[in-house]
Amino acid sequence: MLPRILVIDDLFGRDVTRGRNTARENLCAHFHLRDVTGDAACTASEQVVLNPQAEAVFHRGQLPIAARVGDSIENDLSGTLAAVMWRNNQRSEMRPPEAPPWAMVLVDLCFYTGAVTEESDNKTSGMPPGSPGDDDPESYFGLTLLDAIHGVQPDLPILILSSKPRDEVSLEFAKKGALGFIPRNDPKGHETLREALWIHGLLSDPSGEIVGSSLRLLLALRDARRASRTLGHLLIRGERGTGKELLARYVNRMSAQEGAANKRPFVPVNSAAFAQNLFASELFGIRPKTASGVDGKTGLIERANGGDLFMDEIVDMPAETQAAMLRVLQEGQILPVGAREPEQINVRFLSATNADVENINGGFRPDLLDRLRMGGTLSLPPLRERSTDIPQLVEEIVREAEARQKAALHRSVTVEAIALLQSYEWPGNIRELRSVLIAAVSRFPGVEHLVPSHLEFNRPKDTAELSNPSWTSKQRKNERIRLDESDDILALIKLIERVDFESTNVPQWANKLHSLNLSWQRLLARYLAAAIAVTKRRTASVPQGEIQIHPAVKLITGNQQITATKAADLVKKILKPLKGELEGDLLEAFTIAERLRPRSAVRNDREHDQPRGA
Amino acid sequence: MTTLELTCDNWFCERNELNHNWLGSVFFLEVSALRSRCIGETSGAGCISESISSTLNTWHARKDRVAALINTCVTCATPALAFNHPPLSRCEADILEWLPDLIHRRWLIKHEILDLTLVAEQSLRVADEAAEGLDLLIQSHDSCNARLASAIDSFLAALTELSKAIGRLPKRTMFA
Repeated sequence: MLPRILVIDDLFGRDVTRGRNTARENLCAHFHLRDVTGDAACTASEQVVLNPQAEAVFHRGQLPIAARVGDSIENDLSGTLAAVMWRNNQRSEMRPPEAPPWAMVLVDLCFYTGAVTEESDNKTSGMPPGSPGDDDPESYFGLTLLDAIHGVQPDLPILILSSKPRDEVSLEFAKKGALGFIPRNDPKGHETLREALWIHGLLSDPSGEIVGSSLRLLLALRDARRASRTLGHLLIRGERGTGKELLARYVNRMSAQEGAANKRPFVPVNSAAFAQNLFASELFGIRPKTASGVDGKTGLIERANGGDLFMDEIVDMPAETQAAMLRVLQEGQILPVGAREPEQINVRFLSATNADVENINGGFRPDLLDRLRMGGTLSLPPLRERSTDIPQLVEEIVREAEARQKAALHRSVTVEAIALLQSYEWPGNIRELRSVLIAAVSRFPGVEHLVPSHLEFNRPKDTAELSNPSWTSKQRKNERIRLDESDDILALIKLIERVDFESTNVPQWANKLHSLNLSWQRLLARYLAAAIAVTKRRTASVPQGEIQIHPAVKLITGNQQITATKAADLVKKILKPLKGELEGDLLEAFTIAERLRPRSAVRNDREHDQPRGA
Repeated sequence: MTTLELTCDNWFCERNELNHNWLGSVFFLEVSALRSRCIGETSGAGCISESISSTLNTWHARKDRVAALINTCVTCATPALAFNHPPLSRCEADILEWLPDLIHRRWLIKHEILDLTLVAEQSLRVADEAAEGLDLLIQSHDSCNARLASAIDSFLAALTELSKAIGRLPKRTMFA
């Protein structure tokens, strides 16, 4: 799958009401991008980039996106932020299901505003001539955007793509969090972009060996790619079952791609596996002796020469091996058994541990540890912190399990089963998930659908709550009172309406208007959240479901004729007072509503709160 | 992205318009896209030679404006012009007799303006020659994509140098 980048640029991002956006097409050709914006300009394109290195979604950063003569072009900070957030929210449930975060965002510096004139439109369709200040480096809208995006998405790689002089803004863009500057007319445009993607991009593992596209995982892969360049020894940390060896193999592959055409050797060893008296011959090898008839043996380190030796669970390494390894790392030499002279080696050591190696009982040599992490430390997130990867992992593991069985059925995993798996903490991480799924496929060879009852693991006690895991986990955390089917919402309404404020209790309730108002808004927001949860569109490919605010509003208002724009207004009205504390579905719902109605005033009327005929 | 008539009042705007809005943002990418088609990186509708001709027509239509920009740099970008407007125009008459000229000469020397304009003129000439070379190939109905790509490469390299050369010309009125 190609990485997907977001390009925020007035010229390339504008849509066209007639003809083509040839500037965008030419940019795509120069940087080897496939336009997947899906707007009219994208559809009208007559050009096909045959070997694209990335997909690009173009965003104008202004409104209207498709402008005509007489339209006034204004910069659109909130809409642009919403476009960024749509794919890249760190809170996993915010993103469209199964959509990886933006691999990178490219931002232009200068955005021209003002009314589109006949003359400016004739020259470049939909572009205004510009207003005073647009061209001033002190007030570039691109820098404002950069600041805002970096503020809400500090992990998102952002680079400047501009024809403006780099030196005018180099300090500002660095301060505001951009990672680089790509001139539009860079003669080696596609190579520059490829390099930037490699170093900074949030990219999935192209080999597919490491499955997942969550932000946490992609950040770990990026760290690994960067570290692979140094060829310094690396320490990989992560809980058991997180895939530390796979990450080590990824580092190895990335280094090979960087270095030369030849693959680098990769030799995995279990640090605990060496008996104390055999480690020297296993690690360093044996030189043959004709006189004594001793056969030679190539040691593991020698086998890894020119490449990487992966040492798993280094805390289990015997003390004697630690001492020998320290000498190897210090001197870059090994002395095979039976050899007279030490031999030079060129090996990078990739060590892994799931232990608190600095404070381990019995001790691990700190001097050895320092050398083993000379090139840096990589951390793999536990599965519970990348639960959005679970659907992809499930698909991969179930197919793998089916392949092991003759005439195995092609199974689907139900939405409920995925939700159940995502609700579990997975102390054994991916290894544990794999065991559960392989066992389920094996024990139920004749079923086409894996349902929760097929999955045997230490599941949470109240599985009835798992119809919407993100919602219920918040409930548990905050110990909220649930209104279930035995409770009548009318009773709640009556209760609220019966509340009175006695004048004898002034000290307690005085000065509480703001808090009371917020509590009321939060209650409404939870009501809306419940409606959003039950009206999500769930499909096999999108098991978490897609938020649909229109049906949710229809449900809570009872107004089946309410328009989508009025529904968006109502969502904004409910959620706007809570803007700073929104998360999950509600934040996404608010973002959607903002996008639908970027400038609508949230009116204080009640017309759309009322069902028709009520 | 307006079409400007070049005057001393808008010389810096014209520089920005030509170098960034047109040459850097649009025209370079247009030529680069032609190269991509020639070497098979992209496919597109229409005849490649017609697309090249159209692009060269754009070049011929714009190069005179670029030449005018370069040629008027010394007269239109000089800080001496600031003495035509308040507050510097309020200087005493005897000062106005010598100070603007001094400021102008100092500006020419300190920022090596004459050298920069010479380099820009030379870059424009090289770019125009590269465009002519490409034009000749098209006129001779040479459909060899490798030769076309090579000629476009030369044009792109010349455009890059031209953009750099214009980029070195003053961005704003410089007194210091």
